[in-house]
Amino acid sequence: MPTLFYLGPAQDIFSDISLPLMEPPVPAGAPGPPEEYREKRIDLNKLFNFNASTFTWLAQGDSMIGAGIHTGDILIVDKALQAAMGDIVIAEINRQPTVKRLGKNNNAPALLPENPNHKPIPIDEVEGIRVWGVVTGVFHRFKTFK
Amino acid sequence: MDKIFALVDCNNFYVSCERVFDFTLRDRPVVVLSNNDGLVIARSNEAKALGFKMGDAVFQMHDLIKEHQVAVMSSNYAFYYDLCDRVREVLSHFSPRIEKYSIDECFLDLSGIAKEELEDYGRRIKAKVEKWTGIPVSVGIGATKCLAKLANKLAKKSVKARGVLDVYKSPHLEKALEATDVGDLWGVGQAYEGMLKSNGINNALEFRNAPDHWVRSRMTVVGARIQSELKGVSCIGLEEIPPLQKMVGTAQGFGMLIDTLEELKEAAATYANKEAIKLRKQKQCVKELVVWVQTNSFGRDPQYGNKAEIVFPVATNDPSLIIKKVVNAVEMLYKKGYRYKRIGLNATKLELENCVQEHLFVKPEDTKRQNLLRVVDQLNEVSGAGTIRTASVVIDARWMTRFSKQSPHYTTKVKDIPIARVG
Repeated sequence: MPTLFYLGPAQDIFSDISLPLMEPPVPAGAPGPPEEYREKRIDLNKLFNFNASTFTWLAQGDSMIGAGIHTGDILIVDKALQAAMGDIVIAEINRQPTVKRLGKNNNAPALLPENPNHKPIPIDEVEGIRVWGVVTGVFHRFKTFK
Repeated sequence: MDKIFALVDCNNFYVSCERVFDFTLRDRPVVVLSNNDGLVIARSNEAKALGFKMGDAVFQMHDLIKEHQVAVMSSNYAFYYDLCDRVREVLSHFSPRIEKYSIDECFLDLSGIAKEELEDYGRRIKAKVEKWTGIPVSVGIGATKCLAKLANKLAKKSVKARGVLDVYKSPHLEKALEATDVGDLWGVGQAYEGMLKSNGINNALEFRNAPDHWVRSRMTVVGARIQSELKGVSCIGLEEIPPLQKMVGTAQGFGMLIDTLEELKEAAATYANKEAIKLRKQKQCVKELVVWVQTNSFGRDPQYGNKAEIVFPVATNDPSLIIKKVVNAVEMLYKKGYRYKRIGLNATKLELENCVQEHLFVKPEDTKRQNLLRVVDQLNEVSGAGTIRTASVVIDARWMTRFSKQSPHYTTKVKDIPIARVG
């Protein structure tokens, strides 16, 4: 009975994973699906555009619960983005990092919480405020896994 | 096409890294210390202004530190390496050809960019690296690596340059050369500096204009090359692929003095293992290895130091083989009655893993063992260094290198992710 041999890629001496030069024989008439249909599994790093300017911060506190940020969540923060009104940002207050939404309160710029128990923090229009980066996503866990 | 080079240098790199996540360090004098918190190896501008020098022993600076509330940090290389990778990634957006010259410096090939756009390009590089990574950088641009380096140094010093200086075909080139001390030139060491100055050559311009044959006769081809580079003739190309390391060394001071053979052997095994891991990463094998031990040269204890040479019949990077030989060597080197401060391993002869010379009388390493080691490497890569190791290797011991004031591994360890208050 005729057999078909699959000749895999030649072995690359620099690669850590050596591929077999010859796969086991596959009976003719039942060929597997062509390799070209393979796609890469979804990559969380790509989903969050995780690159040189992407950092993680750990959220601690409850003032942004309305925005879906809970204590213990991991924030995905992009330093490259220019902060705009409405963005959730890591900003500096008294030399400490804090998470708030950039917005307006009584028509004046402010850092806004998203929890009625917290008050907006006014931004001095002359001094301004240092924004460390823009929060682009949040990693929230419902269950721990081992 | 004319060549154009840029040198991008991170300003006070280790200090700048520390400031990315700790805002209280801004505008304050900050110093970063070497292993075991011994010497100053990085300084903020404020610390430089206070008179801190590279290599200052920190225990001699206590008064100054107290008086000016200097922030003193242990080095945090894991964190610095991550930021270094980020800086390089951003730089790769600006040129397809990059030489990673050191942890805080990169050469970029900017050939092809129009002369009148170069300075602006440099400013864009600076702005983007700073915005993306939080690390401030200086950019020097010139027709050769030597000139790019010189321009970078001036860019840092000059207030007017604001961190970027382009001397490529610049009418100000002579001024820049004149403003550069001959001792600050790339490749001119202290010995040559003394010789040049005693011959009346004090700055880079005077050096460039010195007779060629005189430079060659006094400073060999090394000097001639620097001189040509200053004239705008590129002699030192971009090294995109780092040269294969000829030597792999681990020299470690202990966090405390060791006086027992037991602990010295423990340390030897641990560092030998590190050495083996380094070799395996670089796909190299060691053929000859020098092991040395030393007492504390700063202390008043009796002094002793000695070394032993190990020759492997067949070059290897098998951790247990290397550990065994190194521990044997340390047993021979150890003398009772001394307190040891340092151990060093220097691989003096290396071979590539896939072209190791075999030995007529030694059985070639069996593939089963190689496969096992590869699995161990992978496990340690995935689950953290030391997950699987030879029993003589310890992870935590009293003699281990101290980093008592180290910042968190902000970007490389989940438990160290920086905290932002949401309150």
